[in-house]
Amino acid sequence: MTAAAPHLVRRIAVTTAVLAAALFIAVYIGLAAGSAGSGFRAVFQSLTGGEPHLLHDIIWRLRLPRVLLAALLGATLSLGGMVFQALLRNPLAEPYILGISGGSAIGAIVGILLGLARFPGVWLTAFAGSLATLGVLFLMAAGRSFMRANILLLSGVMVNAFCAAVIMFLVSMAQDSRLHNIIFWLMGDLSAATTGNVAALAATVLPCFVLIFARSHSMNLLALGSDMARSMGVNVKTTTALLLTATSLMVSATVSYCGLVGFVGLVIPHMLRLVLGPDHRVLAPACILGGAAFMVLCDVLARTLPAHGEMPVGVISAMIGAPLFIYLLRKSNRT
Amino acid sequence: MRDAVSIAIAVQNLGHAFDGLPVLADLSLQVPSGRFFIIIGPNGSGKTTLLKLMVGLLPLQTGSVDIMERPIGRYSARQLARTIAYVPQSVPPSFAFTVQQVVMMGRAPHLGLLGIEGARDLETGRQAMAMAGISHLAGRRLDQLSGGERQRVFIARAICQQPVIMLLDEPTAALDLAHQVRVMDLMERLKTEQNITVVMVSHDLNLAAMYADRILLLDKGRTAGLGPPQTVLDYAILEKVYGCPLLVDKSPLGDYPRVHLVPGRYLGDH
Repeated sequence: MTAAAPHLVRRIAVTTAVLAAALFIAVYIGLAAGSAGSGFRAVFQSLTGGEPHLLHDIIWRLRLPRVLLAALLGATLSLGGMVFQALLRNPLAEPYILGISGGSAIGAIVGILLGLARFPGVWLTAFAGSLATLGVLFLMAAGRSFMRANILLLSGVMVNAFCAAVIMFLVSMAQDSRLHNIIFWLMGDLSAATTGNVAALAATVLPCFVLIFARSHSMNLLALGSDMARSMGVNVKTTTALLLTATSLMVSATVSYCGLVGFVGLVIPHMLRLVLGPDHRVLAPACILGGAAFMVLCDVLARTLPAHGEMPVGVISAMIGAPLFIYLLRKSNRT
Repeated sequence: MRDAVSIAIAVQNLGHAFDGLPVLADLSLQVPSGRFFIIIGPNGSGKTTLLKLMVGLLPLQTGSVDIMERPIGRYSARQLARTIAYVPQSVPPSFAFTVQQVVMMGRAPHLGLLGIEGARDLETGRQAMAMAGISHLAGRRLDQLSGGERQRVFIARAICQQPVIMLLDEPTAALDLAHQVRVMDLMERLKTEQNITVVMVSHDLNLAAMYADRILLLDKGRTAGLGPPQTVLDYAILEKVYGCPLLVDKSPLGDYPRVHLVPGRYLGDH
């Protein structure tokens, strides 16, 4: 390659266009696939205003909110993973692995048991839970080199294990008809998709997307270390606090609607970084669109693989993500 | 504007301590504008701490630092970055940015939040890479370079920042002889051609003698010598500070002191 790299704006535009097309195709498949009969032509017909029938209602009233919820979930988790990887300068960092998602799940369950509404009650308790785990994580690694991969991951695994124990404790204390719901939700459940839920989630996470994209170049500079970033004019403390808060906010919002879905924040940013390089200005929109497309397709599998009913989408993403995590860990230890 | 200020960096009664352990004590010095200023001293004498205080990477505890005759605390991070560029001793391994991407990061304090660079910024980057002699590496990934090549990439990044003052922490430590002299020549060129003030921490007393306009010799956080090489690089002062016998003579190249280590076998048994 020569020194003349493609101009940045064009790169962002091309990447965004390609991945937006991928997301469009994924959404189309998501609308077409389902237990009530699938059909690509049916979606097309109801788009072009053919005669209304039952499938029409299923596609627009049931499948569309669900597909959109999956898209928002995937976009949030994958962008959140990217932010954590940039700030901790560790390609294996991710909200789920570090226990941030687990912390917000504890908060969310407490909210559910208190009988709060999904929005804003449960979401706020989930946010409080994620901030608390973030604080614990920083305290555990404080004074040591936070960037050391092993200390960070080990702290995260411990925080995660503790959160899992607390979650099980709470679930076992809840002698409640909603128990099945809680367990199903914990594994990553998209069945709560209603237009209202999707709108509330979108209103929470979309501003966070904008904010994170606006700081994407600061994340590039922070990748060279906080001293270097500061010497190039980045207000390190403000930027870090802003990014961590925005990420916790949007991740806990998705947790309170969709439960725990792991490894998306690891798989998608990693794949995209391999193809697109490490520039976060290109990577951030790519993670949003690519993560959304990936999660929509995971949800299609979750809905269509079982002969009866469906499985939690978190099962699919973990089955794909966990082996990849092990592979990445081996690879990073070798170098 | 650059010529209007005669003192680039003024340090007054500067003190610093880590966890109650003093590292710098009552340090006062002035770095004249457009000069090559080299800080020497044994390990742990506070060289890096002084450099980091000058670029605002450590909070001031006691004393004051003025940059271009203005207190450092009155600069925003961006303003300071447009005035001073900093090359640290080592940069942690990072994501696989290309050399060109890293060099272009130096434009950040001059650009908007997203750092979208224009044609002129790209040209500045190309010139910076050419000056540092890394144009042929532009498309290479940073994590595939040798230590010396990486060091030159970060020097190019600092040049691309177009600062008034350049602070470098032992930039020649990882370099072979040819690249040592090339980096020092480059700094001298920046000084004479662009009137940039260069402040450098160095372990190499002979390089310091040949290139510095002024030398600061630090000893346990205090000034042991400050002035032109001919007065600071005195064998009596150096032996006291470094705690080993040294031989100082005159360089055959010119009016520079030349410092030799003395092997124990020449000292005789006592």
